[in-house]
Amino acid sequence: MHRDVLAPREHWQAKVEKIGFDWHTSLTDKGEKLEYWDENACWVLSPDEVDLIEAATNDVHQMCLQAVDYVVTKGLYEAIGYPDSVADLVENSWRRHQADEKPIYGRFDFAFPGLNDGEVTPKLLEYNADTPTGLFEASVVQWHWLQDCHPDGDQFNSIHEALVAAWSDLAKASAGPYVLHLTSFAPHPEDEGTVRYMQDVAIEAGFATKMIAAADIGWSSPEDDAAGESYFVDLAGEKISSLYKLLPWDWVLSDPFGDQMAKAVMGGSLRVIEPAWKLVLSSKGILPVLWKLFPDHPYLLESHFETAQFKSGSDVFAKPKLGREGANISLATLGAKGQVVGAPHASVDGPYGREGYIYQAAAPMARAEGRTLSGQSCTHHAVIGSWVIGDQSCGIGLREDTSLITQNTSRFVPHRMG
Amino acid sequence: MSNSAIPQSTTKRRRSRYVTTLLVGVAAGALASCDNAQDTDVNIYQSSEACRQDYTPEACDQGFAEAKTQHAQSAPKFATREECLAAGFDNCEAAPTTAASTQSASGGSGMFMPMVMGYMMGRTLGGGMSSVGQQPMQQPRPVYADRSGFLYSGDRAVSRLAPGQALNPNAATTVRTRMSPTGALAGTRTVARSGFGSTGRGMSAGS
Repeated sequence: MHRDVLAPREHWQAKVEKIGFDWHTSLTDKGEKLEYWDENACWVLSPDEVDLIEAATNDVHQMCLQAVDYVVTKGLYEAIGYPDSVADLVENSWRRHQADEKPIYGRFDFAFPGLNDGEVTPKLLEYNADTPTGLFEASVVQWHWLQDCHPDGDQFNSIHEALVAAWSDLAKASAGPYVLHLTSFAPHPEDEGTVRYMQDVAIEAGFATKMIAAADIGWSSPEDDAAGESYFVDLAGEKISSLYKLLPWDWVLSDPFGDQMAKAVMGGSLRVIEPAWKLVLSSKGILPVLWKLFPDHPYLLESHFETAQFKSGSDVFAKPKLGREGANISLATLGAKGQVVGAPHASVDGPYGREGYIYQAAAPMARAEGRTLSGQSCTHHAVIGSWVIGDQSCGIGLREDTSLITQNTSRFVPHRMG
Repeated sequence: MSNSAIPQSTTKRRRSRYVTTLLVGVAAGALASCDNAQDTDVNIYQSSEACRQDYTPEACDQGFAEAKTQHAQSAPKFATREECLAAGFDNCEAAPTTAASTQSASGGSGMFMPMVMGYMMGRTLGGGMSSVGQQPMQQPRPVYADRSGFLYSGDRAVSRLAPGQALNPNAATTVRTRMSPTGALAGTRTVARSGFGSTGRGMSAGS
């Protein structure tokens, strides 16, 4: 695995905007342009490395399903950061996970320096099981990049085909009316872009679709309480029976309509994608649970709820159980009793962490010496985001940062096989 | 020399064969203004004769001949009829020879594809006032169906027949490609809104 420095395509901004990618560049707080899509380089992976990532993804997915079963059976919700009140919903949804509560997608983030770094395996950093993003970039934008730059080349990316198949299966398994509502916050270019792509895929799979902003979703009840059922509606008053939401389950359940949604799902009148049992996997509390169930597994990193369980001298990341996009993550060296020795090596601020932290051993990542876009020399660290669609590994997207912590400003860099 | 018409794929390809997106709601912020503008009703004609109910015979014949060629080029191909049937299609036929594959002695390409079921056209705007034969005709798209009633054109699904819906052999059949609001609901109801989206506002929901 190595990093090639490249000249970007001429007029690449216009090229990616033409396919609907309008969040390729963002602005910093200081108003400076920040390239999110970065084709000044690409990562090149060998077929053996891709095979290894695929195997790791499929295995870790199966291990995660076992971990959900363990959490549900033992009722370990508080340990992973949730109130016990989520138990009924999660158990109800999990019971149907092989029937009408099947998953569509998830993204595992792996640390993997490549096989040129010795006989190493990809190590799971975290699982974005509920609201993974970077989907359109991986599935469509880097595919078009490959098509333009290496038309005969290959890429570990059949995400689009797998997504269409997953939504078709969902449509064919249901009795109709094959109507899907999709929601996210608005305005929010990146989240809306992801939802728009999911809408495209659902249409291709045979659904009639409609987008609605989260705040516009209505709760419709008969004025005379005895006169009929209550349900969610869109702005035209049409009943919402299947809802794709790019909103985390833990936020939805904290919202004023959270109880109604839980009841509608449990009563079978509303299907929500991703299903509610993904709540368990979207907490980083699942990482110590996996380590307990599969100790020393080659695809896992040592993870605990307490720092004292690590050996003295370990480099360990602290991650909030319910954090997102690298926020509130820090890296430090631990002493004999789990105390932090010296100053943290890296840290990112953020609004999370009230629900507690988990601790995870640091692992070598793909890295390359290079230059920033402004020309300073630096080390690029890449995290491999590996997509599981349905139950199958089917492609990757790489996020790169000069920091050891991947965050929402990290750049998306395309890849190819070579 | 290897045959260029059929890919000689010995190593496993890892990339999607195709990635097509419809770009439905291109403008950011489109979420806030959902209305009926996304409705798309289309007509499907099973034959040139059905088409002549609405358009001139010349336009129908020419459009359908072109659509038939397009179907032969764009429909999925299978090595055997059995494979085609197993993919979920009830009616499969031999794919005709194309310029790119002229090697088969039987005159066909040796491949099979789902049989074309009809030709799809967007409904003309306005309607009502124009008499038969005066409407400009769009290029029809060939449509084929699978056993579940999903309708496809080329390599993509375009619609689905309603349960029990069959195509009218003599005139246009209207199907819906997107959602249409069902209109007013019976009974008096109250609707509360703004019940989602307050938690985490201002942060990205993605991870």
